[in-house]
Amino acid sequence: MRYLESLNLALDQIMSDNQNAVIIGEDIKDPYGGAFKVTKGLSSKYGHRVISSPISESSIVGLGIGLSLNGFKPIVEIMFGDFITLCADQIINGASKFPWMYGSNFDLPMIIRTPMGGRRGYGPTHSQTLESLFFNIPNIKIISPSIFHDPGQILKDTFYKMKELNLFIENKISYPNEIILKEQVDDYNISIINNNTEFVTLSLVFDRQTRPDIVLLTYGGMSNICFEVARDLFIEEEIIIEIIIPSLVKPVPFSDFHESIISCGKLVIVEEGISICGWGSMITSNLNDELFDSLKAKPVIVGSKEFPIASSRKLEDKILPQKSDIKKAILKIL
Amino acid sequence: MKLLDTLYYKILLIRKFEELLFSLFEKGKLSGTTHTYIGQEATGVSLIENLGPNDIVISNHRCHGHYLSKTGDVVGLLSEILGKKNGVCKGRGGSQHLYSKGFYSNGVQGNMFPVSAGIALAEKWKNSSNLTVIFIGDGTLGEGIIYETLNMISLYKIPILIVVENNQYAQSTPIKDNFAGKIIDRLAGFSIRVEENETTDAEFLYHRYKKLIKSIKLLNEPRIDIIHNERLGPHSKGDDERSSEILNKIKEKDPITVLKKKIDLITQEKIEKEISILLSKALDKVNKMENSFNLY
Repeated sequence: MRYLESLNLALDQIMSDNQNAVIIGEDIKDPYGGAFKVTKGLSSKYGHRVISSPISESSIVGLGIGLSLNGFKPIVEIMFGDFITLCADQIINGASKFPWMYGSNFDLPMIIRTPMGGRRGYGPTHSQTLESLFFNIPNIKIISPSIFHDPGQILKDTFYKMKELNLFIENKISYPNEIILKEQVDDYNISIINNNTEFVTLSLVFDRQTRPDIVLLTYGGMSNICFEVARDLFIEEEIIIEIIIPSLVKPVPFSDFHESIISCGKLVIVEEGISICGWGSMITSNLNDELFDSLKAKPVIVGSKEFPIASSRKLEDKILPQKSDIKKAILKIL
Repeated sequence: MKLLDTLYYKILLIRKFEELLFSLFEKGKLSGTTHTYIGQEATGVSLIENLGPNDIVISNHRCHGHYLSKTGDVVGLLSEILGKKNGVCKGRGGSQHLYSKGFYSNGVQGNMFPVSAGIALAEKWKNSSNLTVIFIGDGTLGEGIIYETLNMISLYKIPILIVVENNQYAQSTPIKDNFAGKIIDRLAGFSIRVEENETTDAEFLYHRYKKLIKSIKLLNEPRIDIIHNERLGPHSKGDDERSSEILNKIKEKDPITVLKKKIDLITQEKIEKEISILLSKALDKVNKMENSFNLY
């Protein structure tokens, strides 16, 4: 099953099982079914609960907040993740603050789904990875499944667990990819390594008995690229890599990969966003004493360079993190 | 209480409450900022007097008057503004960020506008007869989100009463320096029925809103109501650059002055005394509140 289908089926099930579920987004009605077709077929089935809105990103997020405050469970689609900038006030000065700032315990269940990421030549305003803008905003959860997760299941988990605003980040190059629902892929074992955390964190490792040389921590659309790197380096250099892929991006589920870091001591973090003040920085600056003391080398963060993302695919590749960048980082820390 | 007495009581309560805030500021007992409703009270009081307990009011930075009209909760609001943990929002929201059942306010211009549309749409989907009312000011009309949202309110026939309180100033800038065209012309472009009145007469407004609310509930459609008046107090505090000549002119239209002409002196005095006692008791109670916070 493809990443896209998995999400579409999950939305269908959510809508059919929950009369208070609402989907709002631009151009999401059939026959078009959304810019990336994630909502295809839903408006035909669920009528007024699927709102195809004007091009008003800020307002549709606000509309969702109001519906949530008044008993509904909205899922708002922002067509391109880059447009999340237009919703910043509603997210930061609205949804994320309401229950706490009003001194109340009410829930504000809501999902904003949006595709982030480049590698399709969409250029500077349609290719970014901007979830890091919300890393230091309290009371927002950021969730992003990879192709190794069951993205539809993660979306359903998000819907059923949500008590506050959730940003659900879909990497747009993952949409056509087949998802990996097996426990093994190319001799790599995939296992869930959650430790009292809510959203699935996966570990991909060649052989559970052998201690890895490196822990590679990544999420979303970088996960398959990291997997290719791990495979290559095993064949070329016999380097053993454990890839850890949380689906929960923020707050960082440290306890899930605590054991792996402690037993390995070498950490490379890979993200598609600009590496300065990004996910890697958030993780490395928040390692607890035990984790910090276990490190045998300074962790390396691989991410985008500090440029807007170019439209030319060739130039874009020079800006976004590539397999070669990840390999270089791993060889440096070994 | 007779209608006029009630209106007078509620308007005077807001006025005296906000004058108390100014005096607390002067004594250094109040921190942060506050935006008073002084001179505009007739609108909120006479509209909200027509609402039931399940109707919903959404306000803005200038929210004390709307809050007191909706809840009557003097101690909750005063303790909130004075930063007490027993405040209605546990000291977290303060003057601009208030919540009580059926009441919301927020400090960013236009921020609550689409939120109120969502709240009202939910009421429509629930087939409820509860009305959602949102108050915005003329200054808020500078925010683009207003026009995004008006478009959706009209498209989806969201039953909501939008009250535009034109107090002639966006912060300290007079409307002629920051607003092109006429408010009514600008708002008339969304196929939502819009009316305007220039008044501070609470009795007139009360009867007008009675009719308007009945009509909205019957037709289940959005309406815009523009009230032109003039802010008598400063934008927040200590930021009033207007001449005494201009202020004296505005004072003639003070809703309290207007209402006093319709109520006998004995009743006026009785209400004034009642409010004075109420506020001093409330302040005593709030001052005595223990005030230690736990973050977690």
